[in-house]
Amino acid sequence: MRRAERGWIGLSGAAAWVSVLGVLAILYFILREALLVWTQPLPGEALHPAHLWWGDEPGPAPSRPYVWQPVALRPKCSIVPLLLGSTRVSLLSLAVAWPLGSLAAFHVTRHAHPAVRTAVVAVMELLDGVPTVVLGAAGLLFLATPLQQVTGAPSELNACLAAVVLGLWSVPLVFRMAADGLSALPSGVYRAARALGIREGAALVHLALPAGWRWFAGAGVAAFARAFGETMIPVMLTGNAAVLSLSPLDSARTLAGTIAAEMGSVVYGSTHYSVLFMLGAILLAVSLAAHELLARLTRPAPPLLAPGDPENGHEAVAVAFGGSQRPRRR
Amino acid sequence: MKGAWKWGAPLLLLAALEGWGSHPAMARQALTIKGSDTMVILGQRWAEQFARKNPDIAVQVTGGGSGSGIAALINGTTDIAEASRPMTAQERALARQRRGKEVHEFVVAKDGVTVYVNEANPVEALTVDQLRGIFTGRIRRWSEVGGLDQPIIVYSREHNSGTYVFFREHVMQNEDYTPRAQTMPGTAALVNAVARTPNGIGFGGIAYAHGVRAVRIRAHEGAPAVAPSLETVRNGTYPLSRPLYWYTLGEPGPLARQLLDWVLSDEGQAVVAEVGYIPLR
Repeated sequence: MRRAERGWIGLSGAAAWVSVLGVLAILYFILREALLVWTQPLPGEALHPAHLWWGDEPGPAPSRPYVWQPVALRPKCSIVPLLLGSTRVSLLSLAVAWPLGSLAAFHVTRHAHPAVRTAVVAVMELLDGVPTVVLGAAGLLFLATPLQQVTGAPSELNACLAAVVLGLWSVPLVFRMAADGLSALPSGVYRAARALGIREGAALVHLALPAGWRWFAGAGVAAFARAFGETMIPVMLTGNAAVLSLSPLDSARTLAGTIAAEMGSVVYGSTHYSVLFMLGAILLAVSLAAHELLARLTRPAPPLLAPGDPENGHEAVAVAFGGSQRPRRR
Repeated sequence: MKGAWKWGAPLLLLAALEGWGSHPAMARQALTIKGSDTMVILGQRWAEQFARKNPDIAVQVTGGGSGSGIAALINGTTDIAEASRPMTAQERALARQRRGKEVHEFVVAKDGVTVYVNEANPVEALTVDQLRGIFTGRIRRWSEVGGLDQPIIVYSREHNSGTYVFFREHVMQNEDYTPRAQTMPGTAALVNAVARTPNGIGFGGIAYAHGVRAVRIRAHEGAPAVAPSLETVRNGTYPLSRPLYWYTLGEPGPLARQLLDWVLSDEGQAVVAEVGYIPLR
């Protein structure tokens, strides 16, 4: 019995170590391949680090800086348009996902009939399980042309289209976290506020948001990071032109999309190969940073007040509305 | 049927990714062919017909672009690389260094690189210089080349496309493409994008020109405007004619030799014409 137990502990410990070592090995290999261009360059393929920024020989004024053309006669590997492309698409998708997910969560937790709530949650889970390649194809088939007619974009493939589909894809994530955020406000406090005649919108802004802002912010961070690393939807919908632009109606080329489109055709160990791994390292860094930020945001904070203590409700409402006993608005 | 390419686009992309890390089948009677998207339909048609005559030999054909096929050949993950552009000296040297074998080149068919515009576009012909201006981004409106006062929407291909490289060398004199060019994952995707964009322009193989109009090309100002066709490509009057290649590492093995001999035979070359390319004879 004792021996069996020890064996079990050893087995589960080994499983934990394998996972940890696996992640470390992935980190190691990505960095090793990314640095290959400097540790073992192929003949005639030196890469000056400034190249990665300017995309051309460093100098007083590169003829046309920030160009991603890694297979041109003189290869240019500026990561700037790709960073900008990923950031632009992800922020735009956030502008779709964050309000939609938050408002849906608010409606479902405060107003929806329990049957509706169950249905909405089920649909959200379903949406979460749809492969992104299917969402991308659906975007092409059903959304590309109408969206172009609405926005007047010159081409039907653009950052805006990808952002809308990415945003819809992120709604379940935002919804879940926003629902957590709303539940951070004890229902006693909310009921007390309503009983005092405080309008729902005011209760949301002055009570629910301060109590759960960490979850709302966390939802934004998580949705941004997930969109930043997503591959298939941007590849299918952005048009993949590495332009230096801030316009939602222009095309965009993302970091992840670039890796997907080009990794299949590079020679192992070439400069282009290494640069693609550098893009991978950037994606990894962004997702690690987002993970850390998220962990800090959603670390359990001390509760606003002891749960289930309706006596304190009035006080909490008063504090939230500026300290006096009289709410600002009736 | 309108949406077919949209499903095809991700599939092509998956095909491009598919070669990553995979190895040729170890079965004794299997051959893998990988490379040019321009040639993937041709390669598959050849493989089908060949397999019908030789049921014990499995030929697997995937696209991904000429660059993908050549990289796979150098990395040792395909038996035959299809390419719509010749291998560079650097790529040949790399193959020698990595595999210790010389690359062998075979011309298997001919093609005329075709410039597509939307069917509603009134521009009938363009000179090679005008094409260079459009694809480098110096010419940005159709009115500059005799068309409507509308912006030009440039569609290009991913860097692994042989057509992309051929076009850069022969039309653009190795200048860079405009960064505004949208890069499409395959010729079929590009043709469909041009068909749906009134101000679009793009390029690809001669066999794909469905739902779009092929522009007549003038080699220079004052030269006759030539449309791509079987005759003009074969007799060389079409300015953008090119050979299509197969590459092997060293002498082709017995299986590859058998396939290659059949491809170069009258029967194999008849398939070339069926698919819409130009047979060697």
